[in-house]
Amino acid sequence: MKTSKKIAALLSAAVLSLGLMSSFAFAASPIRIDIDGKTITSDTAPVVQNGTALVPVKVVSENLGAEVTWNQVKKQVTVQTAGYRVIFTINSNTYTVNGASKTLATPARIINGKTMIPLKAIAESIGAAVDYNSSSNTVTIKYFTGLTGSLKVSGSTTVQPIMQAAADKLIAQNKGLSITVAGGGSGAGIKDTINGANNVGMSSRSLTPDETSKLNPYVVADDGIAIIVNPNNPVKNLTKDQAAKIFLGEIKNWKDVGGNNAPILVQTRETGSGTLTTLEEMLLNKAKVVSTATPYTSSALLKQAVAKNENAIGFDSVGYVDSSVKALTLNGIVCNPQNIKNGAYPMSRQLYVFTKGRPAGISAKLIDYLRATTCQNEIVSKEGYVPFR
Amino acid sequence: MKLTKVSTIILVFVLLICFSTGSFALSAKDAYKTNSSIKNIIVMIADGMSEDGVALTRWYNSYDAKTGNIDTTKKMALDDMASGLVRTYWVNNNIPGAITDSAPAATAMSTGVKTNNKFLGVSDQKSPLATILEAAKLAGKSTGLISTSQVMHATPAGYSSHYPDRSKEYIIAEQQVYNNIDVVFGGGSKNLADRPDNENLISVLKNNDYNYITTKDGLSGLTGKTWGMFAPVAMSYEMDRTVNTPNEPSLAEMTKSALNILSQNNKGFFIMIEGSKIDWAAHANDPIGVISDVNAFDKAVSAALDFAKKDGHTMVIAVTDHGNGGISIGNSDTSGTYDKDPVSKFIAPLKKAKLTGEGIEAKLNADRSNIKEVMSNYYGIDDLTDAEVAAIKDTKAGSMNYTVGPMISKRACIGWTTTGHTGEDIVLYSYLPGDNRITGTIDNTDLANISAAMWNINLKNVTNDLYKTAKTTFEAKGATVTVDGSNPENVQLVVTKGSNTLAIPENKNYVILNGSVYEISSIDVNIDGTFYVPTEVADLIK
Amino acid sequence: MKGIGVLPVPFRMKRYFYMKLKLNDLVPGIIIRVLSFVAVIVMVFMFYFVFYKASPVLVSSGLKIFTQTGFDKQISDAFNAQNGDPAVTFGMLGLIGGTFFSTLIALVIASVLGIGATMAICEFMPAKLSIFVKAIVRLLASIPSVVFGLIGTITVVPFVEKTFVTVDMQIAYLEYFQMTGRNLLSSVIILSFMIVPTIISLSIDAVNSVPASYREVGYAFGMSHFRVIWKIVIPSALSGITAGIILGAGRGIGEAIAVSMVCGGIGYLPDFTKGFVGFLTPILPLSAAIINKSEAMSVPAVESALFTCGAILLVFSAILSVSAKLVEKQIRKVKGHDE
Repeated sequence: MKTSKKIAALLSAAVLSLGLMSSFAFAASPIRIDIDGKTITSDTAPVVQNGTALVPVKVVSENLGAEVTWNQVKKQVTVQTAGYRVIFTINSNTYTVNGASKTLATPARIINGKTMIPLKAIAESIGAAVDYNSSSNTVTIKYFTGLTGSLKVSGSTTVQPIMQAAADKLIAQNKGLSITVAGGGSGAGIKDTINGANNVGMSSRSLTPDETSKLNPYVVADDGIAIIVNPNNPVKNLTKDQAAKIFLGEIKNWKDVGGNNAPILVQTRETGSGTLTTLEEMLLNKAKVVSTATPYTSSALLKQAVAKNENAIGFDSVGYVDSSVKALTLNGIVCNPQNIKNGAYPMSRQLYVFTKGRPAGISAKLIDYLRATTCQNEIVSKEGYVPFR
Repeated sequence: MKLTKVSTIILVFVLLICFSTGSFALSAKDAYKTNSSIKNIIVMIADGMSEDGVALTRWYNSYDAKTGNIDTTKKMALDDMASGLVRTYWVNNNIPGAITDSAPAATAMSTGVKTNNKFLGVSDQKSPLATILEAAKLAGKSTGLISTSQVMHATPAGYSSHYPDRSKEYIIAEQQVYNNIDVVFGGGSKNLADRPDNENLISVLKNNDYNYITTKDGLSGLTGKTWGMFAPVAMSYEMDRTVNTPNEPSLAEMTKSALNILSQNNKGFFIMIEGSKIDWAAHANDPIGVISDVNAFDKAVSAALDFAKKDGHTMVIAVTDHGNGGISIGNSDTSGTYDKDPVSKFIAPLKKAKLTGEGIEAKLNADRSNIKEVMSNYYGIDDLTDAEVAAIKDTKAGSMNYTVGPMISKRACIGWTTTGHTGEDIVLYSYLPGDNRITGTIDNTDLANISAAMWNINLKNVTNDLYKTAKTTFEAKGATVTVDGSNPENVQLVVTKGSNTLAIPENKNYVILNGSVYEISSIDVNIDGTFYVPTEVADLIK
Repeated sequence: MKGIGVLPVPFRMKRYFYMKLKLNDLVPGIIIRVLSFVAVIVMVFMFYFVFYKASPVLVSSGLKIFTQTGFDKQISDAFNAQNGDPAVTFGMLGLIGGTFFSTLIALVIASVLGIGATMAICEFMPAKLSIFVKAIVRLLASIPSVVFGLIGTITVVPFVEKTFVTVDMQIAYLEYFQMTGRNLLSSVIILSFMIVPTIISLSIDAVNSVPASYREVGYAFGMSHFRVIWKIVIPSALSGITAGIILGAGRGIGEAIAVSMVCGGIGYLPDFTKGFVGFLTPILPLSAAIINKSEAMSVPAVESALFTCGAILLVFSAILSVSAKLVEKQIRKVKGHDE
């Protein structure tokens, strides 16, 4: 070969390899994702295409409290938070947010069998603040941070401890945010939300059709109603029928259910308690607890009464049961998280929060926070309830 | 050589004969014109409307109560559409039944298959059948369902759910909600949130981008998928609606609003619209209820016809599913006088009623002390006997029309032979583009088959696609199939193959594969422990 | 919640006007007059507001309020009522009876104990000790009621149950009511403890203001110490002692928190014809009822019913105040001297 040609060949080879190397280098430098100050690790690394970061869907769902649904036939993935429903179609440049169409520069793709969605698009659609620092190659997402405003929450005293703990955590990481959490009972919470007296309501019973037409409810935890007796009571199990008859006053003596010859002293809650309403719905078919039962204004007082009296029987949300009382098995099924989540325990229920119409702004964020994996595993379980996922 | 020529000629002859008989057969069935340009199909069902009820209503409309004048030219929107007759019988295990109930009737009209009493969307062997509504959905068309009873009642349920027991309304409601119907209007909100399985279907709808409305004001400016539940159970009769429950829309208002939304789809739509309570009035032998809701139905038909005529690609069918009550103009009291009786004899007593037999119950006070005033002011009866007053006083709540209906019928010489359904052939009302009709005496199953043929759909193929028996399908792929009944209100089918676990919750439009949620474009169905799934679910396990 | 034992302001207005004439400065006089007007208006408004809120139930239940029992079930029915259910009639006889019996019996006990203690403190104790004890008594009178409630739950309730309630009695009476340590008796005991310091406090003041000369007259006549107390000191101090008793009564009927923790929580009307068992019946006095049932207040009917309880309490307090004044006048008339 002539020398000039040789040089030309060498030069072009050099340029090519440089180009290849730089693109390799570009692809090789890892992109970091920070969500609310925490670096996210996922078993699938984010991918950059045309300058847009694509992440596996699980990153969004687990960290931001979103629900994800796949549609094999339409090749769509739906990401749903409290306030937003975002639908991506694989390889399509349009996506929808709450039904409205939007365009994408880089569509969602399936890479190595995993569905990857454009991070900026999804984050902004659900109301997160997204920032990209090119020098450190970091995408910073603020979803549960940088919030300002004030929220009023009221309703069920059963849901209250979960809400208070979540509110405390949110306030700690958001200086400009204030959340006041009040009790008052499920009934009061529902009325407050319908009347606009609060931003978010809490309920330990399911909403009626009339209430649901005005409100949007979201499950935040599962709960079971335990039948509690004094730890010294020899009775360990009741059938649902026996339990019902006891609370209706038809069975009056412990010896009729395998215990001692002693009166069954029923302890109950005052009218207005969501836990009482749920017991009447789930155990007594909406009949009322016997009129001679001693009523208490809080579950703490009821539990204390059962702890102090050997012949007492009461009921309480599984979250409040502690070693001072004994929870009976119902139809032989233990009142534990597993049995509550799959509905095997006969008196399981769900705890709700709700807004008037579709949640927006910080109300939506609060609901997402409650439903995100962090809150479910740390707060809900700690308070003695059952994560609903 | 000669033999071959002869045999060829004979062969050709035979073939010709076969073809011609075949085509004769074809044209006998195709007494209507197959019109492949039909985009939209509107099926309107006036439940339990015997033909004398229509005649009675027309006379009622023609009669001016103040002057006594009769306008014999008064027409109903239905009149021009009358074109044929429909046989309504049902079948169980090859044995026909003469008088059908609404459930097998609706199944016949929606799936093209006759089935057993009380069965909805399933064959008499209890296996699910795809309905014309579901087939339309698969073809990309929009779908709609309207009824004045709760939409979980037999007729609308027969188009949108699959279960061999029409009384299980909460199961039907769950299938309907997850079946992705675009527009649903009617009553029945009680089945959506007050349920034994504690699921809140209203919030499921809201989370799936449905509008959810409960009053007629919600109908104005409506776009997009909507469920309108205007009553916890059934809506009011039209005559009672304006007085007792003015927040409910009329059947015509619901029809117009639905057609507005559905016509946005370029591919077309299918909608079933039911005037449900004509049947209930006939059971009670209450001619006021019949007239009230036949008129309401006719106004809705008028709205549908207007749409069809403007649109040019729409077929409208109006039928009843079966006769009811044996209603007749004339009864045993007119045996000797019928040839001299004027129209006023039968209509004047009816004109005085302002509310139906069901509607007057709301006007009675708690101890029923104002029976005479209420009956006089609202039901047009001034001459109650003491026995009649006592009967009204003792009537159970919700059954008032059963007591007072016969009273006014007697005074108006309206005859009834039964408080149950009847087995006559019923009138077919039809409208096709170009002002065409479907003629002849057809079977109620033909309604489904005719619609399917117009859209080149084979309902049997759709059934095979949407409702495969899960156990056999998955076991054939080498998977293990178990039923998880730990929560009896939400039974699941669990399919395991290798490291893959597929959980199929009953009556939903999603399944869970290895922890991820997959939505499907139809529903899976659990009928007494046997699960049926669409092909797209079967394909999830290789 | 402290008791309501304040004399209505109108009785004091005369004195304020009197004061104005005596003061040279116009401005303080005007301010005081305005403030007293405000106080009166607030008082009047409070009465009006309570009765306004109570009017739906007052009208619909009418006299049945005073003749029927079953309040607890009625609250439950009202709370769970659907549209179209008939309106619930409330019968508060059980509540009124609970308030009446618990306060009256506690008052009798507390009066006897209180007057006796007062005499002991004023007449028989060495001076230094009596100053110390007087201070303690005044302290006791100002302890928050909830503390009494807590102490009651931990000590009185178990005591009553152990001493008076047997398992056989529980079984026998279970179809009528639950017999535990929470009943009329425990309420009476707690209320007595709460009322006694009040009575002692005011009685001490009254006894101390009996002029020494009165006693001297007695001694001069040769009366023994006891006779002097019985015949001279007590009658002279009677108006003050009565004031103390009536104030104590006011505190008793208004006492909500402490009582709600020991009363049993259900508005039975105690039946004394069955003997001592009547004391072991659970009760629900009016003020405790307002606390216990307040979670159901989101329903208008319940809110109105609870305001009716409040209205009845207001009327009782007003009656107490008026009778306090009347008793005072009566005693003055009998005594014939001005105070």
